[in-house]
Amino acid sequence: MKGWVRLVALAVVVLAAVPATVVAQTRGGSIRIGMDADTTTMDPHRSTAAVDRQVYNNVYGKLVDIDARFGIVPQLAQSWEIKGGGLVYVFKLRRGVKFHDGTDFTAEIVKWNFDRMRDPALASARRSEIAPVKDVKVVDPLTVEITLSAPFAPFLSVLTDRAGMMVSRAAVEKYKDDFARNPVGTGPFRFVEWVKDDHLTLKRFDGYWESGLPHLDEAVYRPIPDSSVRFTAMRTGQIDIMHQIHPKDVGTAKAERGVKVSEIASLWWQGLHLNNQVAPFTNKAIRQAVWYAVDRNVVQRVAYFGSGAPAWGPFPPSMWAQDRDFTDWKRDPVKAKAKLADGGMPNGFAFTVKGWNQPIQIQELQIVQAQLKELGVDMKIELLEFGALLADLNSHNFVALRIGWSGRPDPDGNAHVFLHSKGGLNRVRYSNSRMDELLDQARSEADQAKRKVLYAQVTRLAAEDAPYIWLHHDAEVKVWAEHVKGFEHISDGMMRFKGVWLDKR
Amino acid sequence: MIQFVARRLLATVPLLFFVSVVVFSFVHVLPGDPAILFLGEEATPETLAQFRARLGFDRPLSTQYLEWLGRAVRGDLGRSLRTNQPVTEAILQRLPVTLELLGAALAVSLAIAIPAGIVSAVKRNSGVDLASTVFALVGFSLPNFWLGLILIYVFALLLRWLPPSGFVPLPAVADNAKSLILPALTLGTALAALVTRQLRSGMLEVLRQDYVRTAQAKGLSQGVVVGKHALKNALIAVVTVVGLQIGGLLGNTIITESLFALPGVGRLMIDAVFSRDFFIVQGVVLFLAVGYVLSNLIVDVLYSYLDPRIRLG
Amino acid sequence: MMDPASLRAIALRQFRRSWVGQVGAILVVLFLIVTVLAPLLAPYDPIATDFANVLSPPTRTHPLGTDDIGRDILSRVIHGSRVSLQAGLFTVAVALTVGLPLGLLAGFRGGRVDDLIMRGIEVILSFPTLVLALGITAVLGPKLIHALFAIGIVFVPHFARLIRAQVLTVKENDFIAAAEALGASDVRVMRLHVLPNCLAPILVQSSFSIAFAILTEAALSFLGLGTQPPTPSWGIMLAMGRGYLEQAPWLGAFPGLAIFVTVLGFNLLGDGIRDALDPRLKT
Repeated sequence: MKGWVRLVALAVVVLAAVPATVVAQTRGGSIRIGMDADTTTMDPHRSTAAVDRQVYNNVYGKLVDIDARFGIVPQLAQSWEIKGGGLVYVFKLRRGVKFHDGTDFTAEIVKWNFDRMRDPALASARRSEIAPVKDVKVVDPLTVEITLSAPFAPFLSVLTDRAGMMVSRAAVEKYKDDFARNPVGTGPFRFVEWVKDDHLTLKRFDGYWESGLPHLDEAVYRPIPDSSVRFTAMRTGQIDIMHQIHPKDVGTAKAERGVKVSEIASLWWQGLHLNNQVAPFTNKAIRQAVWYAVDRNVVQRVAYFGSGAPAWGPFPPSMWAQDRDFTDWKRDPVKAKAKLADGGMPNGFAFTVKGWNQPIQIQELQIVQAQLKELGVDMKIELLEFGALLADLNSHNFVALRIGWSGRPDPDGNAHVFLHSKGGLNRVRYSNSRMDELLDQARSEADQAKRKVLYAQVTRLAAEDAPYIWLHHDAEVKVWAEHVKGFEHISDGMMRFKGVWLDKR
Repeated sequence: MIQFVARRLLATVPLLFFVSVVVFSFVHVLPGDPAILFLGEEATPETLAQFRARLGFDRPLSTQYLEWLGRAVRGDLGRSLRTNQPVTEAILQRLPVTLELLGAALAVSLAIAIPAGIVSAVKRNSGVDLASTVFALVGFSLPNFWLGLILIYVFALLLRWLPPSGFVPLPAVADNAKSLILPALTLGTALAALVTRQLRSGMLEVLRQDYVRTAQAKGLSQGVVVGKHALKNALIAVVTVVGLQIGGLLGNTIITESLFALPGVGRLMIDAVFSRDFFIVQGVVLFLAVGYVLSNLIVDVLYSYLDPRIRLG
Repeated sequence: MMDPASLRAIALRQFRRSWVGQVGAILVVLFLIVTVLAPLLAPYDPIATDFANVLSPPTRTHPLGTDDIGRDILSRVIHGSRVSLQAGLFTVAVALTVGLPLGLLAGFRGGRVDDLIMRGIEVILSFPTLVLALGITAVLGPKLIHALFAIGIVFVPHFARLIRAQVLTVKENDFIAAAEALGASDVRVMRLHVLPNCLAPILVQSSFSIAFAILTEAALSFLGLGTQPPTPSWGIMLAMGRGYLEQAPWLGAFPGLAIFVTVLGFNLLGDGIRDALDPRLKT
């Protein structure tokens, strides 16, 4: 009798446990994603906004991807081989991969994609990322050989982002400039429609090469720029997953029923770009004055509610390249005052900083404004919509500009583009030959320990020259509804939906 | 009647012409240089010249104006400087949302104002009268962005009855209605206050007039009197107020859409202002002004239908 | 013709009887006292930050709490009244400077000049107020002065029409015709007969216009297109409070209340004066 009861009890336990453990990955459904900004373009080779990559990661296949531990994993390239002392990369491509328009993905297409990115006429933002690429050769329909002009340690890591995203040649040739609004890739979802500032819809691509994937029928991106509104939309079930939660809401989110919160270290840095070619920031002492005047700890405590970390350089704590001895700086108003005097402006000066019209950015800028004011520096704030801010950044149209960098898995991606005199995102036009040397050396060095030493020197030199005023390394936080299953949170913050399904019962 | 409409229509044509001149001068005559605003003060003279040439800013103003007008008349308002999307397409894409919001706000405000106005006139000096008089005085002074925040706080954050923002398009009727209730209240309250006030005083005036008193003396019930005589005349007052407030309503749409993240024409304009996308701004201003002129025309016609004396004027 | 002095007496008596006008007058006077005495009344510097004390709820040291970078909200609300008053006065000044001569000109000259001016006014009236103000700020750049100028221009028609109507009424009077026949100049007629009669309606219109200007300044600043930080403007404070609706509702509550009460004051005052001047309208 006793044994029988136990058996029943066991059965009950087992039965009760079944739904939790063996739930089938259900097909179908639509996931609604709350974004902080609208996509700016759907052409990955022209994109310069982090937000774009979110959509791309589901529309475009990449040669390789990263996993949660920053490891490089196969995607469109099934395997690869590095030869010639790090100069030659041979990629074996996956067989039978199709674009959404039905055309085949082949070595020829890979070569054409690289040619497109390297074409000066396209003025691709990818061009500088893959600058070391000297030659792309089609070995056979499924083998590509890429030769570099110099060893380039971050190469595979670069290919996990937009430079590795393959677009359909047929579609580009058909739509020309309008490809930016008619994207065609090999990803798990195909593009359906984009109503600017309202929504961008993707549908399941039935011809996706990974069988059985994706689970979802549809993904709808909704830009909701106001973070509080976005969070409320999350809590009231209008969206299923949200990108970029305001740090003030993280506590509330964790206490909320039916909502999951994941907080990991990100690759981001936030900071001020000081235009090194425009007065008064042509003057190094003046840039240093700002460097010493701003209290990153206050920024972290007040604007970010203690989340993330104060930033004194381009490398976040999640990165092996960060020099831990260099992270406990303090604000130094006395030194800042002295630097102002050195720069010939002992009573301060006035300048305008451009920023994104978002609460957290405005708050951060007001903190900086108040701290500079103590030194007699009058910082005016001009707020812009994100696209316009980006356009101003890209056309060097600023004295100072506040923007963030979403970061790259390899430290090179957080520093080289910004600090090298030929860096693709060196919009402040900073130039120091010693810095160039250090950065070039670090990217051609394969040994991580040696690279770490070089990046420590980069950090110190950047602090000395102060072309940027780094402010903060964000925490990477994602919030999603409990019925969203199978979501893998990766430090690059990209939401990959191919393995996600909805458990709405 | 037809003659009146024709005369009114005819008078609208030159008005629209001048409106187009003003809108054109927005980008071209006002002291701000769009090329510099767009490219920045650091832009080289060459890039500025290129930008102006690309947009045809380097030709005589009169030529530019005539070309622009010619295209505008055919519905071509140029293209967005940022996304290259045709301006007309961008506006039309968002128009349904704005129209729906306007309709909902109008409905909400009349649903509040008509009962409030009538009851407070008929039951003068009652509690209802006092309440609606206070509402009429106060409602008009409520900043709608503050009212919107209060509504979001109470109904979306505290009670969680309604979504705090966003728009669910038709045909999802229930969700669509839910997403519009708070915006409609935000936009419609000031109008409701004005209409209540006008309706109340309009009805009081009518109720005091001799023929109404006679009707009452003849033993007609109050309901009949109010229904037959007072209401029709009072409705004229309503049409007047609504007509006068269309401009305010259109302007406040911009704030409401921005507050509730509704993808309407107003938000298109705000985003364009922050993007310095002048052709979108210009297009929306022209579009709204033309819409305003035309809706005034409709109100006038409606008015003359309700009150034939107007036609003589 | 009634003696102006006794007319004024009647009007004043009416005004005293109307509680609407009185409430309005009290609110407006309070508002004016706050603007004048702002530096004395405000316990703190409105732009001084205290990073150790952000988002503090109302306490004894900070009666209305502190904002997201630790500024005293009471002090900011008090100083914000100055931005609002500035907005009100500046726009009415613009509207009057342009509208008064236009109205006089249209009224006195009549004919083609009148047609032209009235047509121009109609064109301005063809734009929804906020749309025009936004459009102008978009092209001139987001600065408070641009926004105020834009609002002022939008008000011109109201003043011009009002003055023109007054001129026409006066012109119809026999004694004016007689005075003109006796060789009185337009300027003299204007000074002696038109302007004194315009004063009251202008006052009413100004009161409504100030209310509307304060509301519009707040709206533009709320959208980020008016006053720029760190200047304390009620609209900006409200925009900031919007992000902390849940954690710190006092951020938006008090500046919103301030806008509401001030706008209400000017609107009620305008109502009160109007009712007093035209007792027939009072119901």
